[in-house]
Amino acid sequence: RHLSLLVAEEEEYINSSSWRDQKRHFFVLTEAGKPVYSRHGSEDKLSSVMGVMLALVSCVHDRNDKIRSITAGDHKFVFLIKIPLILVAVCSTPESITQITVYLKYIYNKIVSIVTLKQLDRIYAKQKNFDLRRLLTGTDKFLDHLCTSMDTGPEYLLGAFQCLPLAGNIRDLVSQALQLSKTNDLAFALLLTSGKTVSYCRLKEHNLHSSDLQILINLITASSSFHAGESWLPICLPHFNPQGFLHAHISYLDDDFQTCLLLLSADVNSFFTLSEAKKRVMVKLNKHDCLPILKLASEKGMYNVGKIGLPDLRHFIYKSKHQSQFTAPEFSSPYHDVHQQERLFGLYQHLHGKIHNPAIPLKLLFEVSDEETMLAWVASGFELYVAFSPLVTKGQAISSVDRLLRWIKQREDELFMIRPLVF
Amino acid sequence: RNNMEGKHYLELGKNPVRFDPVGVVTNVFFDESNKMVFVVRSGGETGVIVKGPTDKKSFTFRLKDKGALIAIKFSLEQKVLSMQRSEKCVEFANFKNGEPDRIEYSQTCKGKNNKILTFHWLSPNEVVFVTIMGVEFYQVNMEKRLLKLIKGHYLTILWATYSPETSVLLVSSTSNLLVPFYFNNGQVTRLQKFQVELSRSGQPKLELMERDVTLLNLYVLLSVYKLPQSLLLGVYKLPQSLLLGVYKLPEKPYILQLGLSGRFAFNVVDNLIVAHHQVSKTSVVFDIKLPGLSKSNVLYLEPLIAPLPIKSFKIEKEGVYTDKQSQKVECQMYPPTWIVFQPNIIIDACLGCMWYLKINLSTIVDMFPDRCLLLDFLILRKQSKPTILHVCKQALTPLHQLPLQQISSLLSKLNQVARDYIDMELSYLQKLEAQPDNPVLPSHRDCVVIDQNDMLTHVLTPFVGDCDVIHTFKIAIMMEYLKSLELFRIKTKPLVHELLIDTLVQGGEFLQLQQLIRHRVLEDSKRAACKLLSLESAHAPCSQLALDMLKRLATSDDEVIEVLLSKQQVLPALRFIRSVGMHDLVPARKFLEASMHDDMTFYSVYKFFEARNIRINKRPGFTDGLLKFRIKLHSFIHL
Repeated sequence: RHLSLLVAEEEEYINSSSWRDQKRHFFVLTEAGKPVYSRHGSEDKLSSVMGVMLALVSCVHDRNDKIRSITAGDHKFVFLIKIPLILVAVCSTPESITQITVYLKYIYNKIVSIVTLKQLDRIYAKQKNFDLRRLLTGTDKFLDHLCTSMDTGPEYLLGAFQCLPLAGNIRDLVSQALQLSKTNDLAFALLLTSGKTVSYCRLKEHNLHSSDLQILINLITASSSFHAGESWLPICLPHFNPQGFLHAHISYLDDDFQTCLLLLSADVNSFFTLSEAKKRVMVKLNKHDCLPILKLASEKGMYNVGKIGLPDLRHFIYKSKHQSQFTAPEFSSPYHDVHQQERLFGLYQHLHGKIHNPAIPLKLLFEVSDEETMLAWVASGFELYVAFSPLVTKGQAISSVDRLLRWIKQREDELFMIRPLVF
Repeated sequence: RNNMEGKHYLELGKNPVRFDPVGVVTNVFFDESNKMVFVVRSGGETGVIVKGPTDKKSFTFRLKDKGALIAIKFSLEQKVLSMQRSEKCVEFANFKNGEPDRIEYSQTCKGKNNKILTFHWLSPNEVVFVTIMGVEFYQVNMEKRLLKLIKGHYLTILWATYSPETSVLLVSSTSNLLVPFYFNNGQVTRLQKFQVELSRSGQPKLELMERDVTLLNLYVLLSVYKLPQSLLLGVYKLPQSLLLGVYKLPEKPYILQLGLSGRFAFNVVDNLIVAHHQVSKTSVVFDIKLPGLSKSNVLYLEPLIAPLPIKSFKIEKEGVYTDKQSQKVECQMYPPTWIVFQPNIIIDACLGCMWYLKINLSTIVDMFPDRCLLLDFLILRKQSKPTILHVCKQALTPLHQLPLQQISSLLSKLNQVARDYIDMELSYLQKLEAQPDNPVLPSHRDCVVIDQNDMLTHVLTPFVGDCDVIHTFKIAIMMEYLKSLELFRIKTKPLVHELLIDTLVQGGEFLQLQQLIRHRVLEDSKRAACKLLSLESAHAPCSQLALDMLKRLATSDDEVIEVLLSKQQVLPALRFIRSVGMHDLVPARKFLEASMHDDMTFYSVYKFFEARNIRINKRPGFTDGLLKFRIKLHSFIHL
């Protein structure tokens, strides 16, 4: 009787419109059907839903096939099978299945960054029905934060990061300061201001993949627990090495917790060495009075699109492919309310999905609607997504794009980190 | 054909030319060229009354009685009066102010022992004598009062017949040898003679007499002769080329199957050969253009309708009056006193009546069992337009409805005629352009043409409005008509398209309507577009079809804008005005007003006009009247 009550409660919940009407659901379960994570609602109440998901996966698996997606009306059901985990997304949004799969990979990587793949494999080799939540205790807020960020974050869509706009010479100074943190086993040194990358320094032989960088940024922006002094935290960067942990020394350099320094080392015992290294960085930054400048830059925020002087241009996202960096202006009218911003981001997702459609990849896309005219352009060095006034003509749009590219080129130094240093 | 008792399709004209009948002292002559009846009393001493060609026209003059008249005729335009009193000589008197000149002059035929058979006026001053020895062509000099022989053709002549309408004289030289002469512009042309074969082998030789031969002028000039002791009528077609002076043998293409033996008299009414049979008191009609049975290069034609009498006729009895009301008596039909002249004249000299024979198309309609043949028949008639339209209308009405295939062939017939008319008109206009003073009036303008307006007004619009007809049939008919027009490459009028749209909408066939417009069966026009717009409530895609149509028309820019704005499609309206280069001319207010319903649209429109203001006035502001829009914009931005 107790069980049937539970089932009824569960049914009631998953039938409630507040749950059903959510636009993006993400679920993580184990191959044994144990719930790991659900973006909306408690995963405890969703065991039957996850059971159905598992059934779908095994059903297709039994035919020696792999389920990738189901499309039903406006809804897309996307599956990412990473044994022992199964990740499922249910979206009624403009993203393509490919894009949703990328989002699922971010969630997977986030989980790996907490437990490492090695540990995951070891546990499930021993115990198929292990409840992974035991290991992920307290990390739900990071996953939630990640999911929320993905809703409107171009960085996840584009696989690129956005720098804090900053005069080139200041950024160079920051890079040089980071270089000073070099110790044995130091893999990366990263400086963030207001969650935006100012600069980083890396081992010559190891690139910092944007998805790994995103994990670090997500870690910092999701929590205020690093505000107090210096923190020491094991973290796995799946692109760098999914099998093992790096150890992150995290510290804020200013009193209002704007600028944060991350030093990642392979050595579990290097906390004090890194603490020393931090001091060297601080000295260098203080010497050039960098922190107030960074603060100012962060207060100034991003630039306004009106500055570019193209009347029909409303918003854009520019991604530099070589640097895996992107730049976009702040939202301005008519995208001043959140609802419009979400809608615009939906359009960008739509454009990105269409232009990167694996079946029919495009180079140039021009779409006119009642609200705006969208243009997407993929060239060898960049990707550009632009929102124009709906009344722009094709000719005006093309010439505006030309001028926009010139404008970006002129401010390359300020908008991008173009001279990264290595240890 | 069984219920034809008491029915008629031939009638005598309403107002006959009445004249004094032949009597003891009264002689009556008929002048075929002028269509005038001469009533000569006491040899002219007590007066000559000339009546015709209508009853209203008449005048009187006196003549000295110089003996019995053989013939009396006017020259054309009544310039000269000519009288034949002897076999050898014709006397002339110039005719002026309704009186013959007192001084007469005369002309004797050439040659000793010659006899004048007959004479004919060719023009106001040209006359031809047909004598037993030849044809003498004279010019009359009215001032000098003498005749001058222009040309003589000498051959033995037994008898002759003349057609004043075509100026063709047919003479019989020796037995059954016929020689045609053609008069034109003061010239005589002797055409190739031809022999008429009447006898069959092993039978006695038959001779063609004057009364057997009649020259008929219908579509082409025909020489008709009754084959003695047979039920057949031979018809020679004198070729058209004859009139151009080209030498060509006449053909013998038709045999009319009269079905009765005995004497026949012939009239031509509206290009129909009417054969009157006195004994049976009936007449039959033939149309040489309608199909017949072809056998060894001869076309055998049957009467179009079974023999029927001419409708009886009542005349006022002369001299007898009761209470001011004239008493009417029924005429005897087909009496032996009837004489028939070309083309459609019947004279009863004993009664003192000259009628013009007429055909009544409205009664003949019901006598044709075959509607297609009927239409062919009607198309060939003059003044048949109302009848044709009636027949078409009838073919569509439920009780008399014809199968679609037959209706289709009726439409084809009408459109073939319309096409021919267009072609002839075009070539005529071309000729006219090349020779602006070409006086020849085109003959095709006399033909009956049923154009789209006629069809619409009298047939299709009432048909589509008929509640008793099912929609599918209406649509089928309209499509059939359109198809037929297309087949004959006749440009369809917008009204026809509109009616088709109406018909389709009436029947709820929107999909078909859509297809027809998309494939340009229904042509673009402003009216059609407006029609479509009015149908939007019935079928939503109609408005888009209308818009596309207006855009293609390129003359309806204002309409396009109005339509778009009325649907609050402000951005498409702006894109449209930009595409037609009007974006600096339109008033901003209208567009801003229409975009108030949606913030994003309003923003775009406001920015659009702001940019225009900058471009034109060098500043973004609007005039004060548009302040409320500015307030609206700010309330939106600072939400």
